[in-house]
Amino acid sequence: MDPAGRIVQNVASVIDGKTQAIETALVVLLAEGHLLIEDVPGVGKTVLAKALGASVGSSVRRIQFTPDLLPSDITGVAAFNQRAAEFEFKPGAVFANIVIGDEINRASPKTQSALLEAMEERQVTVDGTTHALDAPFTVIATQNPMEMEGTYALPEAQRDRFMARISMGYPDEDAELAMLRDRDAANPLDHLPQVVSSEELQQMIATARAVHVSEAVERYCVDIARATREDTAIRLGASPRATLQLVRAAKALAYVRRRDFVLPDDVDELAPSVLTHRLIAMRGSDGPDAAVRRVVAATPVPTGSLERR
Amino acid sequence: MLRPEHPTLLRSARTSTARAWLELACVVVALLALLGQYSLLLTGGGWWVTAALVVGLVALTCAGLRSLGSRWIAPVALVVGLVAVSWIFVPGTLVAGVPTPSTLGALWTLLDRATIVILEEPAPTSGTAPVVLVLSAAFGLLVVVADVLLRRRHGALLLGVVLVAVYAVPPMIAGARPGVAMFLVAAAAWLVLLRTPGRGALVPSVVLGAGGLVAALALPPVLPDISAVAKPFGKPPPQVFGRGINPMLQLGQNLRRNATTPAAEYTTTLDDAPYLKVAMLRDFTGRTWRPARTLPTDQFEGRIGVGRDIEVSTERTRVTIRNLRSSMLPTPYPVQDVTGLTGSWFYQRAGQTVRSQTATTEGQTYTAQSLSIEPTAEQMRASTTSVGPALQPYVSLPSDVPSVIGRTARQVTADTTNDYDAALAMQEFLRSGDFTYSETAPVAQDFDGNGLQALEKFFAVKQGYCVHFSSAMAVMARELGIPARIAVGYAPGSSVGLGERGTIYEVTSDDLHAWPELYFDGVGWVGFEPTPGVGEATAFQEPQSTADTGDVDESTPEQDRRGDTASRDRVESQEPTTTDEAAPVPRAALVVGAGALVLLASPGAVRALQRRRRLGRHDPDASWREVESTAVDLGVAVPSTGTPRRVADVVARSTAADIDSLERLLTLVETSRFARPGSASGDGSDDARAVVASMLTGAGRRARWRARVLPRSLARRPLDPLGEEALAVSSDER
Repeated sequence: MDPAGRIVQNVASVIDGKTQAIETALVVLLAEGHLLIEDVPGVGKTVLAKALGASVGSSVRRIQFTPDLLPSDITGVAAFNQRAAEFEFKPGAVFANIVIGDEINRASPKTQSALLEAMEERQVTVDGTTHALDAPFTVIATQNPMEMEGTYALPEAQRDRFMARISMGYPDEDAELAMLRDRDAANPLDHLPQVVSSEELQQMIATARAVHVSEAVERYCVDIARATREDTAIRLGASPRATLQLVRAAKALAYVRRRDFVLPDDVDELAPSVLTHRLIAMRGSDGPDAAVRRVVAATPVPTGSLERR
Repeated sequence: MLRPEHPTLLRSARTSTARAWLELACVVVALLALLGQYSLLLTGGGWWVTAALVVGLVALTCAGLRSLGSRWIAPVALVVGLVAVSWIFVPGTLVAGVPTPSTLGALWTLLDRATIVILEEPAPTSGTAPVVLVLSAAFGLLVVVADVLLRRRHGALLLGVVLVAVYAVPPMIAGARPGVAMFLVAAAAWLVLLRTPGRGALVPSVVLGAGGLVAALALPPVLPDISAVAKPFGKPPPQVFGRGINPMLQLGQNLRRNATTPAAEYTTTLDDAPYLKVAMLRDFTGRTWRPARTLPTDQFEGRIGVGRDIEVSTERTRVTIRNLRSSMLPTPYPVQDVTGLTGSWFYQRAGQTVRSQTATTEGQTYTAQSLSIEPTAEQMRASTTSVGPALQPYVSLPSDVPSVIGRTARQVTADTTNDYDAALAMQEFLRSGDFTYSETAPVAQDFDGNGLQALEKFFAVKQGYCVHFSSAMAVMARELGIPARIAVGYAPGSSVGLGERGTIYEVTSDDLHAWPELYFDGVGWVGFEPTPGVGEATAFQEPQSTADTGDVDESTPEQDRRGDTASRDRVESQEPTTTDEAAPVPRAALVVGAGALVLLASPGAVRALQRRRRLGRHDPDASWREVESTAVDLGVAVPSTGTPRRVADVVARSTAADIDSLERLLTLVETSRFARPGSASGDGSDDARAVVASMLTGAGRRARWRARVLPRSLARRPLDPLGEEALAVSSDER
């Protein structure tokens, strides 16, 4: 089986019935984006992130965001080494291939922005010294729904840095039963095998990046993005960064689906998770979710060849 | 960020298949509705079918070529129209369906004859081959014009002007009110054309169109009579018995018509029932007799110039119009005054007739005061006419008058010494002897007219009706230098009873008549009766009492009562069929059948052609479009903005398509459309064939037939490559 399939299968052995979420998470990982998982506590957000990290043999660090978490806890701190008589950089939690930011919206905006800066720049600067982060670098942040107590909402500029947002959803009846049985004896995460080496993962990322995007599909992505900007039910449409990330994610999905070119169907499939969290709907409209679905349905699919007949 | 404009792509998107068919369907509907208007000009119905067939064929050609994206639509459509017209009208000249030079010659001959018919025949004419040819060709041409216009940006607006012109012609010529129903149909079709997207700003077009519609609907009832509008356009005003240009030809047709309709009833104080004159024809062009144009020098005829010693009395004739619609009033000659008319009427000084620009004779009852001028034969013989400038038009003849006429005239009048005796001799020559009355002979021998050629034949065949007799005598008189003209109107008719005012006479359409009037100085215009079997020969009282009683006549000849009229009508007017008319009619059934078949089979045929073309192109895209179309034909709800994958999903679930072939084809299409160029292998036409075949065979019999006969995919708007229209639709929906 191909590596992507192995990863999906491996993670699915820990979280039952969530293939779509697993696949999207893998797509984000392969596209070198960041993933925002938004859902109520206890549906397996952290487990998904951990299982994914364990499967690909990457270093995984987990940060539990709390209101008193400091930016230096994330980026690291320059501490004075008395023996060496010099300042020495103590890397923070962000120095890992996969960083799990749990309940990211519980931290203060200052701390949040420290992480978000690292996400965008892929480096941290402490006391004037810049430290590059390892590649691959993916933040999988979980977020409780806005309405919950003690949360600071992520500003839209910061939400825009996440490639995709997914929600786990409650497991269905069978999956919940199976989970009871599996997790009763031991934590399955402890025994989760690594199915892909770090080098293989790098290789996969490179291959996904090389997937072909035809001009027609590029145009299709642009059409969708522009349509969100022109849609009267949407106050803030998709940014050009959104378009870029939509194309990147589509390439990764095409790779996961064992194709070396992107189909409009890939774009269709990813558009809700890539675009929805960036849009701000008009007050009283049916929400960004419905708007994206409507835009995607209404945007004509290119036939590929621009010359007809 | 901004997508570049692709003008060529936009244009190609505009000429999409569905729109081509919709637009041409609208054009056909509009033209067929407007064609219905021409029933004002043509009788019968065969001509409509013929013209409709030509219109349909040309429109099918245009639509087919447009959906194929051809660039040579107009030339090909014109050729198709030509072939169709040749096949219908001059089938004998086609060689294996291909027009030859002789075809063009034959068409040209027909066209030449058509110009004569159009120029000279009165408005409701029978749909003879030349006229139908012109009509069919014109409407076929209109389809091509419409097609060309519709491919222009604002062409639909211009097309509206063309359609209005086409609509306005028949009522103008016929002087009738235009029909509203047909107008509404045509206008609705035109509004649909305006509504078709891609025609620029939509709202202004529709507002303009609707405004024009309202104006056009409101105007005709406001106008008194559209024939008044027609006059400034060079058309002579409506003539005698209809709206035709020349009342002479109308006579033959009306006489040959089997139906006899009462035209008028009258009572009179005249001793004998008078001729009722309606029009006067003065100018002889060689081709036909035409009404005189009124000149300022024309004298008010009547009493002026009548010698003092000649007995003149004033008489009254009360006329009730029964079934006659004309702008000219039947009156005895020379009329002095008319009372009881409604509407505005005026005297035509030359010819002393009464006519109107706005009113018609319909429903009129009036009293005409006329003179009875009764010279003696002696007085007539004493009259010598010197032809001055005023009379010059009445003796002028075209240069190419056949010599037989002048020769005959001189022979006949060889032993006469004055104009009156010469006139009597010519009258006698025509009334008796070799000449016989026949309404059908001229038609059968092709001289149904009053031109020189017809006259020449008339002299050879020695058969004809009043048109020929009167024309012959008038030309003969002019050859002798006697001023002559032709009066058109009604013979006296027959008495139908006794009323309080005296004998009631009834004139019918069978009494339509033409007679010559000759001018005698000191007496005026005197009518003669050269037509055998009609009335009595004109003769004035001789001084000797040999032929005393009853021979005293007024200026117009007296007609024998009932018996003669009856024999003239019943004996001679049996077979109204004409050679020209026969041409398109026997083919009508064939034409209708062929037209119906073509119409029925055409969507299926177009679809079959499309299928062959697509599968024969060995192009994955074309193959895929064929699979999509077949699914649509079978009634599958194919998502119109769907990716190939989604379409394949629907096709696999809703039809019996061969899954393996479908998947291979899908992979191929996706690869060819979205993968790196050159990575697709194969053309997929075999798989496409397999998929299409399995879809069709797996469908129910009804669905399959429906797909073959009425393929729904033809009506479906194909996907727009740039998404302009679909986007516009989606924003409309919001």
